[in-house]
Amino acid sequence: MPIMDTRHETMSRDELRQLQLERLQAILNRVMRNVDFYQKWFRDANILPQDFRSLDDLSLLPLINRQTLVENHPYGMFAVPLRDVVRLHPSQTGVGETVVIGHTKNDIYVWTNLKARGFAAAGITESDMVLVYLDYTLFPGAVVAHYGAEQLGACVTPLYNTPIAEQIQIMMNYRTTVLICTPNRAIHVVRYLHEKGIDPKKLFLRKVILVGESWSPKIRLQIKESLMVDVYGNFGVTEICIPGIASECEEVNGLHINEDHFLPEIVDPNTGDVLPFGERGELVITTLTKEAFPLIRYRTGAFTHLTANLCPCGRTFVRMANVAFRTDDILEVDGVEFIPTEIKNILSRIEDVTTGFRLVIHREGSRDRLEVEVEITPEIFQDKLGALEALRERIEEAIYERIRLKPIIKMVEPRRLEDHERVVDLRNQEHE
Amino acid sequence: MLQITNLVSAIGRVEILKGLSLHVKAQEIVTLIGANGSGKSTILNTIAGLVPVRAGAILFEAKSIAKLAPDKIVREGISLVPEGRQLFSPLSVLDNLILGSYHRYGKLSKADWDEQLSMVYELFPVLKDRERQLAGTLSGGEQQMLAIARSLMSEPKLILLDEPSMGLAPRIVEEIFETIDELRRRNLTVLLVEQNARLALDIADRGYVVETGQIVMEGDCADLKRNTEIERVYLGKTYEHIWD
Repeated sequence: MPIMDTRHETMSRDELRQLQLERLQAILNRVMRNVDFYQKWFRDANILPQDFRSLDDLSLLPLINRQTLVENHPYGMFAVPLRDVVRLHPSQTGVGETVVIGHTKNDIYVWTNLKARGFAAAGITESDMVLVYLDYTLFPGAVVAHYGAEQLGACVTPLYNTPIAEQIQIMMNYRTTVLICTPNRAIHVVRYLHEKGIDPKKLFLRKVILVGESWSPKIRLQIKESLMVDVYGNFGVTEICIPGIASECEEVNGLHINEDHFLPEIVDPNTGDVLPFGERGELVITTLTKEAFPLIRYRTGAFTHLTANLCPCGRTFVRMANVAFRTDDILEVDGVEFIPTEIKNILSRIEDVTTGFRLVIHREGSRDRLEVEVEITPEIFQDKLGALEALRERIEEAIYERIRLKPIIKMVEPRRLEDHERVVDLRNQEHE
Repeated sequence: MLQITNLVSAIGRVEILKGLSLHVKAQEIVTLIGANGSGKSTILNTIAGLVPVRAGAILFEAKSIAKLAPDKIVREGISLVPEGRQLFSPLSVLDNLILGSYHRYGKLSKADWDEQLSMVYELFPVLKDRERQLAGTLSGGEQQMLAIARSLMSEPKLILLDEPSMGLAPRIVEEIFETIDELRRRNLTVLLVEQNARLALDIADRGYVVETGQIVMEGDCADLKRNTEIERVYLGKTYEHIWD
């Protein structure tokens, strides 16, 4: 497939390192001049931007994470005056944990182009009919996926909150060739076609691009085989550039990180030490070109490893392995998207509930069922049945009010969920 | 072609360049923009060997030139067109051009030299007309052309152009910039320092923004022009202009 930006995507590693160093020094100089947080950070670490003589020197600086952004909300981390910002994307994981990400004209331009780059790598061309099925308000990536595909010259249809039957009808009518959606929605399509006995060949679909949440190789295979399409993954984090940090090319052997704009590091999640190249750990990203919201050594919460051997596609950027699990994954239940942390925040405001919870998602017929297991305090556990019932209703209502989904609440004794995974998605297992 | 990493240089005891990195690829026009005294000219003078390198590396075609004397650097293929032209005013146009090829004096065959000269005259026909005139009596624009022509006589691969529009009328500036564009067509590589950021960003491929001896931004000129801070500070647009 043609490479969209050959000048950057195929540049030699030496040239790339020089460019990265120049951009790193420039962005460090910028944040040092414009962001109080980083000024203090440099002062505390007793270093100056000019002490960064190589890319390895980055490890002199501490790591930052989502909490850093929450503490500096709303505009503490902005590196340009607000009048230069043309778009704000709130990233909400609940009250008190809001983060707002700003973008300048250039940020939007770069972001859109990176997305177009990724789509081109997946073989999307200007003759494609693209359907973006994503929540345009919750998920900043929706707008970018939209503009990225348009940038390539493809014809884009935005869609959300539409019953599956209608979506399939639209895809048939419009002859959609590319579907951009969350893995769950893609599975939804698979299941619907299966249930209604519709031959996937009746769709004109040739590619599915998965964004928004992580997925297993099994899910990819299921979508690929049931819909007879190529499936490509993407990676991004809301705080930086979702989903434009990395994308899979047609070789499907890892996601090429756009290294001319992002500097990746892999660190030990416990100690924060940089791990030797190729080892598995938490992905840390430094933005090299961001104007409004530059982030230096930001912990993404994604676990992966990097590969440098040359990809047959000709791109020289390193590749990251598909991220199996992420803390900020978007969940899609019955067409409604939300982030698990939202539930945590709702629960934290309800009395008699501890912080432990677990989300179990089942499939019943053609519908999904969200089950929220909540740990409650020992006191109320020993209380009357009426009190328990009232609490159950309170939780249910609070969740419904926020995410517009009626969950089934199961109350369990304290500490019961301690060693369990936060999210258990049984939908795909039950289907097979 | 040119690769600079962590360059530190000082004039006297004042550190002007504070660990700055940049690169220029073959056949690229790269511009440095920045306020007065930000260190743009010092970058060019340091590359040309006129200001000593205190730390860092300058590689030209993968060879270190950081410790070379200015005349050796010219021999490597780098030629500086200094700020304020620095012509030999009492000498004729032709003599100025001859001095431009001084380091090849005696090594160059007459035929080759003539060819070089006619190439330069082709680029600047007005200089041929004024061949015998004293450089000091030329107009500002012609002097600038002569300064560029003189640098071309050393047959450089990389030209360092320092403020070519300085003190010239807008129409003449346009002419000078047309010749810079012409240099690109002749496969020359140019590192351009220019006060007139708008012109520079129009003609160049990439640019760096220099502030107090450090680079604060790198990018394609199209991207830099889209940056509101650059519009405000270097392109002289007020908010009303940006919003119009």
